[in-house]
Parts: sequence; structure tokens; C-alpha cells
Amino acid sequence: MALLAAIFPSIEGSPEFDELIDRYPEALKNLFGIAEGASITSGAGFLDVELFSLMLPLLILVQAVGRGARTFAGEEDAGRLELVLAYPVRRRDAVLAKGGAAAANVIVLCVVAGLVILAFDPLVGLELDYGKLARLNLAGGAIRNIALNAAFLAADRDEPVRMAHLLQSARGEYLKLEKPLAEAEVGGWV
Amino acid sequence: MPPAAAIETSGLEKTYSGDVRAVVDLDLRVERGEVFGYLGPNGAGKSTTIRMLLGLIHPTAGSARVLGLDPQSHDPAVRKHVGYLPGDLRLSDRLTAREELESLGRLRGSVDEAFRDELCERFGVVLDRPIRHLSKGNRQKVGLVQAFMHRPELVVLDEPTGGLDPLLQKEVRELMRETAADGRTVFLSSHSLDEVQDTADRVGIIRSGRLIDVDAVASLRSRSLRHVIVRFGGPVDAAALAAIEGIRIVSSADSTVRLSAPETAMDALVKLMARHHVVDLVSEPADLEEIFLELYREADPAA
Repeated sequence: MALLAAIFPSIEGSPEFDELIDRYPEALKNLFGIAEGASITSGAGFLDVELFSLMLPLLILVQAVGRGARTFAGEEDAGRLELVLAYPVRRRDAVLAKGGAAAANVIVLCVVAGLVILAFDPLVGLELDYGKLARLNLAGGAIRNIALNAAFLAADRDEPVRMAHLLQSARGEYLKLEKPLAEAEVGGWV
Repeated sequence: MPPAAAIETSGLEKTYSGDVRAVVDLDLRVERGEVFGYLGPNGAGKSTTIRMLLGLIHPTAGSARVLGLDPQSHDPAVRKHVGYLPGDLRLSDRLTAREELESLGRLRGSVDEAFRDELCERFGVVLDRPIRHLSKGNRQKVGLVQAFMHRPELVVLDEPTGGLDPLLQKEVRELMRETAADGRTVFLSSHSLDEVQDTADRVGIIRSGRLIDVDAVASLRSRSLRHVIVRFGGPVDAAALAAIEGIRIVSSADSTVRLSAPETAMDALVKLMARHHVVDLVSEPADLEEIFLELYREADPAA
């Protein structure tokens, strides 16, 4: 998780990266969950694409499979199982105990992932509705400016970044760009 | 009705993949309150027998009763009064010995913690480092404690003294004798007669899956062989040595004589050697295979 958060600043606001994504074959984009118009370079977009779409399920899958396999096939656990099976426990219980431990590990991982995301929330503003944010039709640089300004606005008020901050910041950016901010783009943000 | 034998098997067999006969037609009886040594060379079928006795694998034929109960039964009660130390001991590497023993204790239901702690101290168990950082000997100690800590009616030990220094081996032997003195039973497997003859009451010898002899240790002693190498101060006629009952000269060159001698011949041998100037004397136990060959040279048609 920290790794992804660290990578993000280098990708942030890069128009070249956006172009790269645009060129990805359709199927791959779907796999990554890159919705139409969404940008991998926006905070929420990035997390959505990398973490939720690919890395997190992958991570959980690897954990589950690994733990499950190690339940019996792993040297340490298989050997210890011989010891446990000579104890006054039902075979089923010995096996379930191991499986339960594996499941518990996966659950813990999910909880930890959730907590980390929550912790990062103030940084990348995940209570944000990224689906709605994705409706903005902007270049990467502008997105970065909006994000940054929203962050400053929020910091000023000692609050986590919310949709309201982004709205205000977006309005400011659009003014700079001398573009009108359509209702279709920001409707329902606040 | 008297209590059932500690272990009783009838025609017990285990065959793998159609033609690997690991255990063949085993009729074994171990009485309560005895220390029984199950002896055989590597690959003889010792561990396979033990696994069947504990219900870890199914026999291909025959039956077994442990403390009067069928080990193949799914009822966990069958294993309540048995303690087991596997030949290939694996523990929860990530835990400390203390945590692992507590965890295993919970698996048993309840355990006399004072006795468990006493055992830990007696063996010098390293309690508070992760098990994966412990040496083989230190892990073995943890294995020994978990096998004895609940004072089981029957303790099954598969090659228990591997990796242990002689002092510790002595402690283990003493614990086994104490267990038997308490009316409980110890069944241990080993490939070394020497290791077993100080502790066991009776010994069963298994070779290629078959039980070829069951005997009181005392009578086996008379058969156990030593390889003796003597270096004399000058040339010596080995004929006098060869004349001693049971002695077999292997080689004799200049002043060095190599021979094999059973325990019964030791006294006569030493007294004869003492008449000459002895420079060096080495005596080591012959391995079990050789003893078997010696024992069954006539009886065994395959030899």
C-alpha cells in the first residue's frame, strides 16, 4: 500500500501517462477497471485503478491461496499436522483449525487494507466519489492543480479533503482555463 | 478383568503401491509398565508400525489395539492417554517453545502445568526464543516435553535421542524408567541396541518389515558384538585370542589385531590381552545388521 502511495506522486498529473493509458487495448483497460474518461493520474482514479482493481484483489488472492496451500502442503505445517493428529482431536477439527487460521489471516489482511486506506484518506480524499470526479474532462496538469488547491483549502480549514473543496477548487481552475464548468460535470458533487 | 495390554497387534500389515511391503504380518504384544525397545535398521518398518499404532495411516491388513482401543477409530478418546514424539518432529516454528507447549496443552484439554514446567527445567528447554531459531537438539527437547507432560499411559517415541548430547540422553533414559516404574508404558524405536539396552526391559527386532525376534535385553546382551582393535607392543600370536569362545579374528598384522567379540567374551579377552604390552585398544559396538547376520546366519535362509 505504501509502495503504491509512493509511486503516485511520480505519476500524478502526467499527461504522457494519461496518453499511455488511452492507448491500452480495451480489454486491458477493463481489467484495470479504467472507466471511460477516468484518469489514472488523479488520486482517486489511481487508487481505483491500481489498488482496487488489480493489486488488492491480487494481494488477497495470493494470501488466501498461499495460506491455504501452506495449510497442508507446506513443510512446517504438514509435519506439525502429524503431531496434532496424534492428539485427542477429531481429524476434521485439526483441519478446520488450520483452515480457520488461514481464513482469519485473509480477514485480517482485508481489515488492515481497509484501515490503511482509511488512514490515507486525508491524503487522497477517498470519501470522494471518484466516479463523479472522473466526469471532469481535463488534462493531467489541471487535475493536479485542482487536487492541490483542494488540499490547501481543506488544510486551511483543518478538514480532510471533501467534495466541497474539490468543487471550489475545480471552479477556480476552470476560471483560469477560461472554460465553463458544466452542470453535467459537477452535478451531484455536493 | 485385567487391563488390556499396552499394545497388541495381530497380523498387522502395510503395503505401499502394490509391492512395497513396509510391515509384514506383525504380531506384537507390549505389556503395561514396561519399556519396550523396537529395534531395526533404517527402513525396517519401525516408523510405519508406529504410524499405524497411532492411527495416522491405515493398515493394509490385520489389526491393532492400543490400550485396548482401536487406533483407527475416529473417536479422539483413543489418543487421550497416548503421548507421541515423531521421528520427523515439526513444531510451529514461529512460536516460542513456551507458546507452542501452551498451545499443545490446550489441544489436550488440560495439562498439569507444574509437571510440564518441571520437565522443561529438567531438560533445559529454551523457552522464550522462536522455535525456528533453535538447534535440532533444543527442538527435540520441546518434542519430549509435549510427549510426556500429560503423564500418558503409553508414550510412543520414534528415535527419541537423535540430536541429543549424552548427558541429555541419560536424562531421557531416566525419565523412561520413571514412567515404567509408575506403571505406565514406553514404546521406543531405535536403530541402536546400545542406546536401548540400558533402558528397555524387552526388545523386538524388526528387519525388512518382519519381526524376527523378541527378547529380554539381558539375553540380547550376550549376543551384542563389539569390534575390537588392539595394538600390542610387539608381534603377538592371535591364535590364543581366537581360541576364546565367541571371538572371531578379522585380521592380524604385525602387532595389530582386529576382532569381533560378544559381551560374554570380554572378560576373557581383556585378561588375555593384559598379559602383553598393550599400546592401544579401541572397542566399538557392531551395527545391528552385523548382529543380525551373526545371529541368524544359520536360521535365515536368505543370508
